[in-house]
Amino acid sequence: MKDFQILRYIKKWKYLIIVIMLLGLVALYFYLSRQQTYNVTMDIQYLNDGASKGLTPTGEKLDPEEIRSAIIVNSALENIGLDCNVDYIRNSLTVQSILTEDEEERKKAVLEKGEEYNITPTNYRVLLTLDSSYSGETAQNIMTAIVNQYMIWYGNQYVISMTKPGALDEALLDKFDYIVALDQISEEIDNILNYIYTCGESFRSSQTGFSFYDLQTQLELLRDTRLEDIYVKTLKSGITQDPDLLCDYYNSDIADNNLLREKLLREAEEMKKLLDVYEQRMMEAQSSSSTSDKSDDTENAEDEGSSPIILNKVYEIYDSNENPVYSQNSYEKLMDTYAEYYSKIYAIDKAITRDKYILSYFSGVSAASDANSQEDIHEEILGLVNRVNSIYEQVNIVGTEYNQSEIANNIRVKSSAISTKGVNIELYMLLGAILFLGLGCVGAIVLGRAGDLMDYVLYTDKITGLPSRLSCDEKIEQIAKAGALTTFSCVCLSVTNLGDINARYGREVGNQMLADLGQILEVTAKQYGFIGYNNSNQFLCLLDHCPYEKAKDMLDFIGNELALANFHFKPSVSAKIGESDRLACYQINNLISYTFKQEEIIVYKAKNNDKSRGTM
Amino acid sequence: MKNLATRVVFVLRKYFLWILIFSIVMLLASCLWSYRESPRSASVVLTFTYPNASEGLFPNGSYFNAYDIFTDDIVETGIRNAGLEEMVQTGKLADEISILPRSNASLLTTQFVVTYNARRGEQLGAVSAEGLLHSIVYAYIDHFHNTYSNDQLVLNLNVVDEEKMEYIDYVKYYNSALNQLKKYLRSQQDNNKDFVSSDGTTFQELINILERYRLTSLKEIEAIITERGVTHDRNAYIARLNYELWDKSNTYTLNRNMQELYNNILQDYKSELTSVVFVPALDSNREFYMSKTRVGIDTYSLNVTNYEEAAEEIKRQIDQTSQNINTIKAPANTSAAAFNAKRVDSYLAILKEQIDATMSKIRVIEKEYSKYKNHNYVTMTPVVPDFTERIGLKSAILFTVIMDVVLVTILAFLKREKKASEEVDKY
Repeated sequence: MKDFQILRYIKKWKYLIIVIMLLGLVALYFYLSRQQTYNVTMDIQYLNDGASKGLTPTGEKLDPEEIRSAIIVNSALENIGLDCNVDYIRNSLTVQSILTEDEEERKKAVLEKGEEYNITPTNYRVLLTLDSSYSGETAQNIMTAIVNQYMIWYGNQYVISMTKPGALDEALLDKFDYIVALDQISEEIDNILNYIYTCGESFRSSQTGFSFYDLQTQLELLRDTRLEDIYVKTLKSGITQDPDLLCDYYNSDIADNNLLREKLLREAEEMKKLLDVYEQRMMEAQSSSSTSDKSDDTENAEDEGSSPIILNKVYEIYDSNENPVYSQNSYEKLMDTYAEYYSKIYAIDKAITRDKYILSYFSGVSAASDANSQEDIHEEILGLVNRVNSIYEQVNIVGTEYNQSEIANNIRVKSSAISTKGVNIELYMLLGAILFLGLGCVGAIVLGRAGDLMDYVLYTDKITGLPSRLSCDEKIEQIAKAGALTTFSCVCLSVTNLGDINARYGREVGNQMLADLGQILEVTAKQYGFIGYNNSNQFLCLLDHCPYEKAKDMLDFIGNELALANFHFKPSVSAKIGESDRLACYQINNLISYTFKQEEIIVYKAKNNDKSRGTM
Repeated sequence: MKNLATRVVFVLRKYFLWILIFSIVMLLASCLWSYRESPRSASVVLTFTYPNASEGLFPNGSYFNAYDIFTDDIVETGIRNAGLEEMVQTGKLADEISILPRSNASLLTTQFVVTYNARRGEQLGAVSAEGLLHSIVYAYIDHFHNTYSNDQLVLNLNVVDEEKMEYIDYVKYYNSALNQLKKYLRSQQDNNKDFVSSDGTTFQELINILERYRLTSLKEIEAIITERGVTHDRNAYIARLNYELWDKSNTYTLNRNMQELYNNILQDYKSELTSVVFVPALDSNREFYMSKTRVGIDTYSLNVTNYEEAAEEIKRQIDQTSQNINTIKAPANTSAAAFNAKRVDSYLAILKEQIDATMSKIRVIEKEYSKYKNHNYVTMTPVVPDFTERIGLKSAILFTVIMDVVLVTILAFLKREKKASEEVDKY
């Protein structure tokens, strides 16, 4: 069997190794591509005052996990026009708190003191991990859309507290008489102004340059000049569409207000009685408590003042807004309610006076005003409505920007959406190349060695150790397939004394003689080309690029070696040489046939076999 | 041919010229194809330069969202500006545009790479992908400027937008407009106190000019109107003043009633039930002091004061209105009234001219300041591929090498087959 030479196997199977490596890499690439994930992170920060206590601007519990809610994810996907599994995206989203450096230090310091660290983080990292069915860019888009949608939702839910009033209805005059319509316009202007007062006058729109203050002064001016002008004109001229209906309207309003006033007066009186009782009882309670405390612990009571019952509770009970609850609140609440009743009564008084004032102008009017007057006032009111609405448009723009700014003041995105790959395909491919190369080499060695073993079993003659007849046949077939021969020699060696040796000394001695000859031929003839044992005492040499003389040299070489050999029984060897050019035969099978017909050449003639036997 | 390597060497030597020609043809074909396809994709870098950009905010302080850049309206405007409204659909085009942060830094990025890859078969007529992308990006920049910087409406304020107003109303309108402008300039000045426009004007100078108009010219006009009873329609104005008088009297009564109400509450208030609490607190200098908790009696006292102040203010206005009514009601010399009206008209016209002239200066400084402060807000830098990128040289070389390998392999294989058949034919 051939020697175990690793490089020989690798060299022999190099193409197979490359193919295995390439196929392996392709398979690995497809596998890794399927396993690829894209991670996108965005940091958000809650900036409202209560955020560090875990509260939203409205005082509700802050829950960043709300970003994973179906309503937000669904809306975000709709916004970017992506039709995918909402639940999958929700499950792929995680929110984790992150501590800033300051917070880390504070936490460390607090924990070192052995105290409990109970400050809620205000920075959170939102992580979206999507599988290979999405691209990194899509993951980025989804993440950004979700965070944006969350900010809008969060703003509407927890930040924006004021609802913008609506614009004026241009069809106001189709529903109301002129003076009533003007009252409505005045009321709407007051609503818009109240909205502005709540937002604060200083905010300025980037889009228009208007501040709330600008719009407030414009509206107030419009109310105090143009509206008043039209109002007085309508009153003074008694311009109406239907005087009877108008008077009925105000009379009805006065009656309703009177009823409401009486009700409020009754309630105010009841409240006054309640206050009197409350005051009396509380005074009694304090008086008895003070006496009791003095008797129990005089010193303590003196330290805490004259009303220990109330003051002791100040820091102990809190309401939902974290304001201390103590009995003074109840007393003042009752007082406030009492004051509120009367403030409503006075407002009603003012409204009744106003209704009567208007009635004083229209009670004497017997018919609807003439068409021209109505048309003029109609036009003027429409102009006023348009002017109010044009200012309202600006209020709307400033209000929208104000809301967005308020949202940004309460929640802020701290980083852009950056996508990273979960699997480093390039690195794994490099490792894979090394692995598959190694596997290919091992495979080549295993295959090569197995091939050697098979060759030995199938293609080696067990006696001579040379390629067997089967191997000779394959070699001949291989040469035949390669095509026409060039300078080719075919040599047929025969052991002429084998039969004699077998007969005289037995088959074992004959076999030993063939084995010895095989060793000689292995060393000598193989240098010239292929040599195999062709059975029937014949050895076949197939020598490519070998002219007749070279073949003859080979035979001389073999003869000399045999002569020098120190065997017990030496074979007598003769040979026949067939050379392609000499025989003008360029097909191997024909050449072999012609070779057997050639003249026999004595390569070596054994002489001392008897003597050798004698020494045994 | 003993083995493949020998055959390859043989083929290379024998067909070198043909292989060279083939390589050149392949290289040119690939380069031409890339060059032809290159106008179908384009990229630009958008850089947001205004101060708030790095904090993730728009110039108005609202949160910034880069992915809102290409709304349908903007893409539609871009397509229209490129003259492709008949050929390109807004929805499909938006899908072909990608926006990605320029860097992978963990901070908020202010630079975005916008890339447009035209779909195969998408007809863009004579416009290149680069042209279309630029058109869309310019539409966005226009939109951005319109939204956040251009033509501040407050500067286009029509000082007097009412016709046929009473003279005193003109004064109120001018006063209001001057105040609005002054506040706007003050807000700009607060951001940069040293800014000087190219004509040497500062915000403070303009504020002073406006204040001068308000305190001198306008005050003078107001004095003439009120002291000499100048009106457009005497009776109508007296009726209005009477209504104001009645309305204010009503409000005055309400305030007095409320003051009385809280006075009574204070009288009845049982101080025994309202002990105060002193709470440790920090003042503005971060020094401790004992703060007294506010209780009802404090609030009610404040209410009394507030209603009293309001009532007194209304009383002052009532007196003023009464005085105005008396002035206007006083028998007037017709010619003197006409003279005064004419005088007020001319003064108002002069004031309007002065304000208009100042407005021109305000617009100049505002434009220059906006440019200075915001660095144009957003800039676009086209990503221009160089010639080798445009012809796809690297890809072309790779393609050519692959094609050469394929060709040589085929030739080597054919050579072996040919040789074998020749040998067979020989015998």
